[in-house]
Amino acid sequence: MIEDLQEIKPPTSIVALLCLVVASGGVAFWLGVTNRPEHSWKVFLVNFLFWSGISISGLVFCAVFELTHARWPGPVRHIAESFAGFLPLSLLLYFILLQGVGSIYPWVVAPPPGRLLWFKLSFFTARDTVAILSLYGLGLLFLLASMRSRSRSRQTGSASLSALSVFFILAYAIAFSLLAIDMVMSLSPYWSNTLFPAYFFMGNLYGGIAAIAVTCFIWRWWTGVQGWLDDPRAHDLGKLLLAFCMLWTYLFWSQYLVIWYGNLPEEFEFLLARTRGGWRVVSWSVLTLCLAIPFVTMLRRSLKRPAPLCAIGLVTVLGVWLERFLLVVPSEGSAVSFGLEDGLITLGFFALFALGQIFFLPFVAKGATLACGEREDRATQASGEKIDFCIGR
Amino acid sequence: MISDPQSTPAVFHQVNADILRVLRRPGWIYFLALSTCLLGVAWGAYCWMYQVHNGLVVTGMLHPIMWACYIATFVFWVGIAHSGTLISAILFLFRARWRASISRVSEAMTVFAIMTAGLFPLIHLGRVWYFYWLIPYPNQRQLWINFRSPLIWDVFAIGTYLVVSALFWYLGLIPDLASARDASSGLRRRIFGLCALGWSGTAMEWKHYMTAYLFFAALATPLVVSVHSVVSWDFAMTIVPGWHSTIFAPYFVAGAILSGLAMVLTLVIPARSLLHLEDYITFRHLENVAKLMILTSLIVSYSYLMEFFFAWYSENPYERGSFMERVSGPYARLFWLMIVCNSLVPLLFFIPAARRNRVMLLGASLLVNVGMWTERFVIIVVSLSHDHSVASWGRVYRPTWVEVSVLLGSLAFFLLWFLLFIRHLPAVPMSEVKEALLRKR
Repeated sequence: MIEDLQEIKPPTSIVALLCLVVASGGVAFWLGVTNRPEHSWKVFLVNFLFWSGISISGLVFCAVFELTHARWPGPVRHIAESFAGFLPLSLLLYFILLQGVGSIYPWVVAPPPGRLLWFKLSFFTARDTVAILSLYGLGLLFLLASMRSRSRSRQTGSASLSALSVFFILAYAIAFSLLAIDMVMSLSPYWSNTLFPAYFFMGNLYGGIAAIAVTCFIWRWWTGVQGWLDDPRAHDLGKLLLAFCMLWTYLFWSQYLVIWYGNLPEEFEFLLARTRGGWRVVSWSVLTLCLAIPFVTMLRRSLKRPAPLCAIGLVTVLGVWLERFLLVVPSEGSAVSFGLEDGLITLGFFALFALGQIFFLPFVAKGATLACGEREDRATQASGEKIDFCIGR
Repeated sequence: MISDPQSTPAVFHQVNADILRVLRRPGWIYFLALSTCLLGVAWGAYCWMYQVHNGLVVTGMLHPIMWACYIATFVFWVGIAHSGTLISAILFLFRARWRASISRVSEAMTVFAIMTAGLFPLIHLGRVWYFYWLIPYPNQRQLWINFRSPLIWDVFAIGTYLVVSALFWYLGLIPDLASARDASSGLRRRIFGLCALGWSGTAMEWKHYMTAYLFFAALATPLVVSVHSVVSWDFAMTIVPGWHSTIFAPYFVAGAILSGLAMVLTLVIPARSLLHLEDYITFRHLENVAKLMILTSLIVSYSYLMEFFFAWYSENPYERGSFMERVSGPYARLFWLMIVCNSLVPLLFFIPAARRNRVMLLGASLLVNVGMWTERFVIIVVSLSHDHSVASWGRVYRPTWVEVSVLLGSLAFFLLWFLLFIRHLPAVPMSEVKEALLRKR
């Protein structure tokens, strides 16, 4: 059993394996860009959006926990904070992505005549860079303030941390709305949809809560410490997953119904490209993974336990990734294509995310012993008995 | 009083005494308010009858602006109905225990707001005696119902919401009705006893009660979201510029909750003073409502921003024209009033002192109420006045005295029910307050 959080050291073999996967992903991407630049850059974009979204959503959840004075998360909060370990890598990947803009977006060659300024490459780069730097900068400030607050008494600095949480959440909504418009919607520059940006950033949170559940379980299994994800916390995470599943479905349905009912060519085109031919199967798979499976399973109390929750979380993470793939890759008349290179690129991103998380967790959990304490367990609430939930001792 | 170190039964007795005291014979202020509301309802009813007798020509509606003040008011009242379920059901599921003291008032407000909203589709009809044509079943009239029409969805959505809200409200009242029964005598005792359904407070009754409450909360939560979504689709399903927008459903739901929370503050702040309930409805409750208003206001402002951005981004000249008409057309003042009231005024609540000041809270909530009604008016009237039919651009709709009277009459109708409620039923849920006190101790 791990005695001290800060002493957590990942096995060298796992780190080496992850580094190898990263290298394989890099080679596959280089080969892909040489042979099929548009497709490989799009797969890169899918992974950039997905893993960056998951990463930042961890901090967003921490900000929400802070604002709502949520006491239930305990070590779940450390896991969520540790997702920020990917953010510096995400910034680096963003600058790599900028090299492929010409291969991804049709407007680079033929911008819509009524919006020449908006689709000017320099303006696109400037606004997205400012958005990402501001968001990640605020995220870093929030994280540092959150860690500092753990080393002080609860009251000290609480107001400033709350204020920072508010600004960070607002920055997240604005920055990811802009990224959704620029990086996804502009793939079809004549398509407009007022709800899409909100749908996109809420999708990050849906994938994020699923990823948090999976990561908590993995740490529990690896360290042998039940406290990472005990039954009451698994139950709470399961309920949150169900809530986000319903919210995601609601936002999806609100768009689909209005577009279907309006039946306007300029709106329907985007949908048709994603529901014809082989993409139809992908669309149904997304609905199955993001809606049907999590909804049906998370209604049951018996499945809101650590192991089943991890399985459903994995399904959801896969579903959200597939949804990002469905949003980015299809173009008019294109067939579904996912080769070995694409798989390796995706695994490379996963390995980068995992490395960031593993190395960042001991850093963010520095104040863990202070954050820990006694928590009333629901099972023992009636008798007034308290159990120790601190995992760092 | 309730913070005194008394034994638990004594404190519970005190809670009963404080809250049931409100049900005794009221003072002259109450009767004055009641009479004013009755007069308002009578005047509104007269104006409606006048309209029925003379036809819709007495309103300011003109082609293509055939949905105007009445439909804006209908959407406004449906929106007001949302905060009750938010506070009672959604905050209950989130285990936000502070909701207890204001949940009863909010639930009552929900029921009365739906009742008021339900009048407007009838008032809007040219021949109100055919109102039952709106209801598809039973189908002896052999109607060919268009189930693809959002107007039919409205009938089902609002009807279901009314039934569930009323049942949810009544369910929460049962233990308190039993307390009122035990504390009263004569005819009142018999009436309260009948309504309390023989509640005696056994462990088994509480177990079933809590299960039922949880189920109703879980049922009401998706229902509340669906109701205003369906109302928003009355507009979004059309291709009218300014209406056909995917963000309408969540935007309307957020706006509805904002207006509902504002109405809770508008009613609760005077009521707690008049009924001497300051110990039960504290500034902490009001402050939390104000915080929720910040959240919903930010969502509404985000929606405004997205609508304007995509009107420009879409390059659709009609869409751009419709939004320019809002900003600089004949209704521009209303548009800017809406922005100030809905997007700027709630930001005041970021300042803790503003959230703890009764006058500021009441003033801001009144402005938000005005802003939310104006928002519905702007969405409906400006979009219709600048639709695809270029020939009809430039026509300006102005509500007539009949429409304004009916609008004010509906406000009186809503307040009348509320006044009757606070003097005849426990306005604060005693059982939940006791539970909260027990937990605190």
